[in-house]
Amino acid sequence: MRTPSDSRSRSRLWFVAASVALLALIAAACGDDEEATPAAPSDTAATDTGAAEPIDSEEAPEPETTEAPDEPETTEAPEPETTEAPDEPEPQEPAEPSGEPVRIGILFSNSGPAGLFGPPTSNIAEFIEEDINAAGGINGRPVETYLADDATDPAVGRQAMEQLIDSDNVDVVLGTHSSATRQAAKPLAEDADVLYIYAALYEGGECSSVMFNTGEVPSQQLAPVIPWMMEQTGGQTWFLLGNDYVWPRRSFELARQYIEAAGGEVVGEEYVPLGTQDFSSVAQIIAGSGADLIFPALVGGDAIAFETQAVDFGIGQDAIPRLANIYEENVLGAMGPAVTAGMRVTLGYFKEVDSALNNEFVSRYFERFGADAPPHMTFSSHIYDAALLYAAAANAAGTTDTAAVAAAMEGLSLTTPTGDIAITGSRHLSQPIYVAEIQADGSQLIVQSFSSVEPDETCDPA
Amino acid sequence: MDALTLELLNGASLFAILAIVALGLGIVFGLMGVINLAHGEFVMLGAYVAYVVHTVGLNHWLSVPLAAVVLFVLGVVIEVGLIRRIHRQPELTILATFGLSVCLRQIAELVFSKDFQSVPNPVPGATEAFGVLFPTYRYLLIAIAAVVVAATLLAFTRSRFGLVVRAIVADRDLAESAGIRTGMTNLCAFGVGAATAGIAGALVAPLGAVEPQAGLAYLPGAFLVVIVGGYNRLWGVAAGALTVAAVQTGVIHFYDAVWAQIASLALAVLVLQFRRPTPAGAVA
Amino acid sequence: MRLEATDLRSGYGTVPVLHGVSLTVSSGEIVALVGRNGAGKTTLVKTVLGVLRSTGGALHLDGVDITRMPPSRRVRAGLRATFQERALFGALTVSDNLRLSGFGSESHDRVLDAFGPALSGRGSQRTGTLSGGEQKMLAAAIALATDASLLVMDEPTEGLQPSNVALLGDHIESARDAGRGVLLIEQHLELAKRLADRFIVLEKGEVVDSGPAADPDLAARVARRLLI
Repeated sequence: MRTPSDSRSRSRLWFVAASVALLALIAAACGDDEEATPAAPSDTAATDTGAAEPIDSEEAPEPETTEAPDEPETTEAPEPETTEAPDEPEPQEPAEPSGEPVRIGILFSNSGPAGLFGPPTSNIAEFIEEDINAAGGINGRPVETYLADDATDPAVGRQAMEQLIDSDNVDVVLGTHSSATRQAAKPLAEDADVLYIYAALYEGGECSSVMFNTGEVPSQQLAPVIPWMMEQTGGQTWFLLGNDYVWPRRSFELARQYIEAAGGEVVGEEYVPLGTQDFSSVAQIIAGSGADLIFPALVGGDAIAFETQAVDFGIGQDAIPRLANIYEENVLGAMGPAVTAGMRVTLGYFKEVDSALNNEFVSRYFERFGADAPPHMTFSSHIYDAALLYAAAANAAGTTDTAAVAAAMEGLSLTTPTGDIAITGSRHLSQPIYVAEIQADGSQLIVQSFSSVEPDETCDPA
Repeated sequence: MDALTLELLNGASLFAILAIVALGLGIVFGLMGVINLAHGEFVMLGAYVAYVVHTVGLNHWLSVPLAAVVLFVLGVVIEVGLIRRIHRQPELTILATFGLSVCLRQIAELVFSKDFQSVPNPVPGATEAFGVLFPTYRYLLIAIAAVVVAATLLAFTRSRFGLVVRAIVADRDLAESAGIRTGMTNLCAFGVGAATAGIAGALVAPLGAVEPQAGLAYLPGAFLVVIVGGYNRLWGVAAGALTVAAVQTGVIHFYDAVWAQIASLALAVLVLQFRRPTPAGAVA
Repeated sequence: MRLEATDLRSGYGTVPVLHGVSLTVSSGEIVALVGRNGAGKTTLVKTVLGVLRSTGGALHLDGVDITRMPPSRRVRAGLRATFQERALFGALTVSDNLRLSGFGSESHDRVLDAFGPALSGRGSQRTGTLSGGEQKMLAAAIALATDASLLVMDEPTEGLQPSNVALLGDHIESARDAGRGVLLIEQHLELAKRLADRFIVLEKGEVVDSGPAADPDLAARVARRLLI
């Protein structure tokens, strides 16, 4: 019997429509405005007249005038060089790129649950343009980056991919987002024959004629590190706790093999739904398992909830050491050093990687974006590497034609801030793997590194 | 024996969390028929109140009443500015509160950034009681949540205000015709609903991540509780939380957390299938 | 106290029911609103009280524009209605219904005793378990016992035993004699004739006839309209 409202509601419809529209507007205004727009050209190339001269802005590092940091010949930013020509120290100033730009699309998560990984990636997009252009661009042409946000939602991701391909006319898409988005977006890249380099760590198994997958796969993160961890701690029995989706499940499947091969034993394997907030029952199961070690493959808020609650249940890091494969700075920072001190994390990149190339890159990052900028981390680092790989391959091929660049990608190797990387025959990446140990002050100290770790993948798209 | 005691305590703490998180959703839905998709964001904002209280160096427990006050005010503003004008049209309230949830998340992101934050546990460690060690904070959480939920439900059922509320739930037009200012009651209901969400947020903050997206994780659980408990009786929130907590804890114990979630969803589906349409005004 | 409707229009959704009704009810008079089923009488009651929003025209109570007020404010301004259906909260007790209308527990017996033994002592009973006629009496008793100066009663005698119809008639007359105005919607033509000072005939959402009840021609026309 709510009919009386009908007439009233009609006359209020305009108001409601206006409110909803207003809310939508506010939401849009609140949202980041960099979605699917060229990231940096607006403050470099676009401001200049006529021919693109993207490198001439004040922010670009100027090797001569700065107070001589440490290594004058590399201040020019890392040069994408194929390894067969390592030393050409004479700064043979590369010709300024000109002509129609090569468009590099970046599909990433800048909102939704994985949105916090967005800011470092959009920062790195600036460096991608600057550094590739400083090194002469791609086949003499400047590069421009185009960012598109998948909102951590595969349906949105598909639209974002469509936008990159159809509206922005990109030559290549670099992706750092969920596997779900990859699965939704991949067919578009295949249909349009656009090269798609997926650079996020993932469960492995991807194989497509237009794709390369340069993120860490579980075999890389785990094969060398699990035996090392058991040796370091003396622990033999493991508890595997993960969110319930393909990446933790694949990680645990492999972890079990490596643990058993190393003479250890898995005494418990539990999965919790994404978004789990209460870990009391799980904590009790772990406490009862008698495990020496915990391998948590939990993401985001779930990881924080588990670790903070675990301490009060008496199964914190001090009681049962952790080896984690996704805990990154944001998550670790929120847990706090009291919870995290002593945890070990295995990933393909940490900003603490101690090489001249990386130290310079990281200090440039924080100088540019501020000391409290969202830290450069494995996702943004792999996107940077993917861009350099693409540029090197396109230069080697002398074209941006997808098949030609893809052919040039195979076997390509580079040295980047990440370390020595090389595209494998399986269209994945041979790369270094680092283990960081969280210190009492919350900082990450790299305690072990493994170079050129091969992915246990097979792929033959042809 | 100890294992059983621990599971009972786990169940009790899960019950407390579910009940306090779902309480406001149940009040607003039961009383106003408004499906508030921004309820999770109210919880998230309550957690940020606790975060701010921690950041400025004040005692964590202060954040519980403070979150209630802040969220009550916010709830009142939202009721007057938005809900009041559309609360009779469910489809519009769903759209509008969805938009509101997006906006609140974005505002939280602008103010606090996307980063995960946390609130340290004010009483770390465990207490030994009933022959087992159980986290001290959870004992306090259970106690506070129980008091808040019971006090709110009593206020809504056993007082003159409670009578008015039941009348409005039964027949808003008739209540108006008896001279009851239902607009005022709506305002109170929405404000109190938001306030309890704020308390929930402040209470759960030390148990997990404080981040703009946190509300998204709380909303499904709250809906589950309201669906299972029944939305036209306020005590249903307590009954629903109890049922869901028992099912979840039991299934995790005997099986695992994934099946626990499936089981509680199946429970909600079953309840919806077999619930007879209740006559208007059948409010406990 | 004077209720004045001017060119009042309303309806349900996009279907208009009242096409511009004008009428007045003043203190100390009983105005009988008659018309066949579907004429718009109940719609008029709902629109006057405000549970149904008017789509045109105006309502004034003692010169104050109440057209856009919510029902509760109209009630506080001195208007009170009993609805033909669902006039009470069936799930609540009789006492709770009284409390909701503002009666303290000390006055409950007085209200319930107004209709003789039928309702006496039934305060703790769930209202939905009363018979239809008893619920009608209770709703009328509550409205009459309030201090509202203008009463709108929609079919108050429907389902009542003859003896109670007469009793209710007496109560309505004494309300008029106490200076209150009554707009009475009544199918029971005999009762309407006995009580009313004026008649208003509604047909298809419009006032088609009106006049003093004493006018014998009008009485004949009313009878004819209602019969045909």
